[in-house]
Amino acid sequence: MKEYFIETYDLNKWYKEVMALNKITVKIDRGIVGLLGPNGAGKSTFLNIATAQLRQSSGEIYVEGSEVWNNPEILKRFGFCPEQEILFEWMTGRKFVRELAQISGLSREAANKAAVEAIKLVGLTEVMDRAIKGYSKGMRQRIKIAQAIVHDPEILFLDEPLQSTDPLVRRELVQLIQKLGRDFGKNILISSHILHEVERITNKILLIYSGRAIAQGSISEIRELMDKIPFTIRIKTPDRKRLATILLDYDFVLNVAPDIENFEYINIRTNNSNAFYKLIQELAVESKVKILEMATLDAGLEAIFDYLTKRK
Amino acid sequence: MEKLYENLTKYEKKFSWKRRFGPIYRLYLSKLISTLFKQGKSWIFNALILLPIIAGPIVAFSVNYMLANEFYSLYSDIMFRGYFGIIIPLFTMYIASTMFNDEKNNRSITYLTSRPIHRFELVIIKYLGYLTVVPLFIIVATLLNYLSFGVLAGLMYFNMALRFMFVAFIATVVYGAVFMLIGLLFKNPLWFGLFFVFIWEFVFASFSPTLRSLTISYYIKSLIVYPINEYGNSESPAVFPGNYADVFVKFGSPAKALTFSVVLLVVIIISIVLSWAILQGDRLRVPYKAGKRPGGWKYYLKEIRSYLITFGIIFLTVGLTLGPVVGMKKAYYSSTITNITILPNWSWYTPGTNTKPSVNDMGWGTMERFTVRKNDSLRFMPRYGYSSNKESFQAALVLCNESTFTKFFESCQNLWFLWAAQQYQAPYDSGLFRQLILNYFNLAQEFLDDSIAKLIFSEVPIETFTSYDDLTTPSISYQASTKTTFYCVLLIIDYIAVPNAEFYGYDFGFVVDGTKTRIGSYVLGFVISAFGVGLIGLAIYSLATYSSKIEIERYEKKVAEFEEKNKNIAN
Repeated sequence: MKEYFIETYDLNKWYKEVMALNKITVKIDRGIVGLLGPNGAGKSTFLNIATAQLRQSSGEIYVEGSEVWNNPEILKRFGFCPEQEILFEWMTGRKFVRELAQISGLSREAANKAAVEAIKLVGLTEVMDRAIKGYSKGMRQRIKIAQAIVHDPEILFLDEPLQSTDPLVRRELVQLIQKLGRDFGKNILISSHILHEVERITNKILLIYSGRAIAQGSISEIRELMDKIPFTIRIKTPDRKRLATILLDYDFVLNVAPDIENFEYINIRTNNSNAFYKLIQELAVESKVKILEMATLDAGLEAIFDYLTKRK
Repeated sequence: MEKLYENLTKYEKKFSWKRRFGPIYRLYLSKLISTLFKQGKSWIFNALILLPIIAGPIVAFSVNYMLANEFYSLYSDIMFRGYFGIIIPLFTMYIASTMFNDEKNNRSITYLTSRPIHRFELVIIKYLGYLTVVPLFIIVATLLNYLSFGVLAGLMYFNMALRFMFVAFIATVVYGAVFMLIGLLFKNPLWFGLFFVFIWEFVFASFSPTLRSLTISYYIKSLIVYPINEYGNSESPAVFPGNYADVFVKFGSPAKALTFSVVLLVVIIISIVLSWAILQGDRLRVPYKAGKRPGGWKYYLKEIRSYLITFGIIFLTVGLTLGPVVGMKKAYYSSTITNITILPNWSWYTPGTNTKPSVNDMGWGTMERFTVRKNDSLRFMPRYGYSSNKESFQAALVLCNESTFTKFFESCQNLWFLWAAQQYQAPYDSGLFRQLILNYFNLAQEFLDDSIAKLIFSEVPIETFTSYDDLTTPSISYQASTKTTFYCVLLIIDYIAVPNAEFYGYDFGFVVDGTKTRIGSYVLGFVISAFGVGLIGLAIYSLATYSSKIEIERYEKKVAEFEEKNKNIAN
């Protein structure tokens, strides 16, 4: 029987009357997997259940074929970077990572060395002897990642690991996570609400929206889905009438209408963005249509979620 | 970067509790120390615990002149009521209830619980960390309190300070466990903690003996006044005549040594086990269709294991106390102390009112009532006595039934009532008193004739206590053929009346040798402790038999089910 990274069967979680997870049944393959969803979709709840921080209200979850709740055996292989910002404030960064490494089975000397190395990996060497109390958000984020990787876990759960880090650090962290997944063969579940952030790390994603798993697969599949979603493009052009008449001849253009707020613009609704962009290029070159400005209005993640949930 | 990470992969990992213990212990120790000394608001509570330091000099300066023992009696009062009643509970509440609470609320506990630790270890190590720092802090504070009091009064009664330090240690240990539990139970434990300290521990405790025995401070205070001798006096250095500790001994009926040691231990164990259960998220409710799960009832037993252990311990302790401890005691012992005082000028009873005099008002003796079951035997004996005029009296122990006693008692009352009314108008030497006494002797003689059993004596063992089991002492023994209520009366039957007051003091003991009671408590104790053993047994059974194998089995079944379902949908 094939062992999946994570399997869930009818996983439910209620917080009193609020349903955080609603009958999630998924099988996630090994490798780096992005857990994608808008704020409040249930990503953190899912991660917390997968790492035995919360207990599901009903249903089953297995990580590499083992139950996680009350099972320290499986926790030996876990590294978890949780969402919360508050750490053991009175400790220095180095001590924090060291003690946690030791709890995860390293000897005292090894933990000492490993802590320094892990901190170096996330680029915090300069501040590692300062109390965590004085750390900025980005530093906290990085020390959290350091404590998650210090004991070289086989399975990594990263809850929004890139948030509040600056672009430079972000790039390094992305590289690190990629390396861990590709070169060191770790299984990583990484949650985020920003698509392009996840896209840089992995192409396997699981979409969660209001407590339900709505799609699973590679990013390209999701992209394809995205292309089929009707979405609106706004164009600023002096010859609005001509452009409208040309566009309406194509069947992937659903609707052309002047913008209500500003008549210099027209809004075009299409269900095939790729074809539309190609067409616009051709028109600009061949028919000499002047296009001053072009922008998509609702092509974000929210639109995909909206579309997918309505489709269901 | 790659090389750096490769280094991390090289370290050898070994999982043992020894390796985990050190870092978690250090972590909590450093946390406690930083909470105690580095947090601003902690100093409010730290100041609280050192409050008696200020009280010492204030007391010393505000009184003009005070005897050393009065001064230290005041110190004992302040410690007994204030320190052990409020300050220690408040301080430990703040420290212990935040131990898990803040970690749970800001969820930083995740960094520990996402690592290979049994949550039971977290509770134990945290409690050990608490035990390392806080009791030491409290002991030092208690010593400082003593020094501030004593420095102006010659540092006397050091053994009292030692006693307080010891009890403060025990109190910290017990309250720590309780408040750790409370901190886990409530999101904001401060309110419940304040209610517990002020309302429960302080106010409720003064309402009734039953409520009092449900508070922790009762057992802590018993610890302060322990030991109590046969005369009902405390030998503790903290007890001075008339101070709070003394009042507690006299009217608070402190718990016995066995009781408080067992109770406090059980409180600690239960708090720890329940903390574990809560931290682990064990569920007490019966899962739906529990019997039909692949793990079956074993799975459910695993879920409630910590509760099984908790209730097992409770039942076992109650059962053992009821059975072997109460039941093994051969008989039920009790003693009553009485002073018989006959005053020629009757001052205890105000004539002119319509209320008749009570037993104590009349001064001829005393009465105790005992209900004895079938086949139980009752022994009734003088244990200790003294008299101001030893040669001139005769007393009797009498065992009688209710009607005999009522008849005698009412006649006496009438006699005294009549006499008091007359004496109010007539002078003492009118011979009325003598007439009263003679009439009383006649009544007493009648009473003796009607009684079930009697023992007349003119001498009692003076100055040494007779043991309950000493069968050589003259005593009344009686075996009941049915369940009966006996009236055991001690009365003066003859003496020479002199103008001075006559005192006769007695301690007389009862021994109820109750086979039935004993068997009853044995059986009940056995049943309850057997239940407790059963619960603990179930917990051990689930520990021994429940394994992840069942879970894997269950998992495979689930997967198969799911695959089957998918196939059907595909078809």
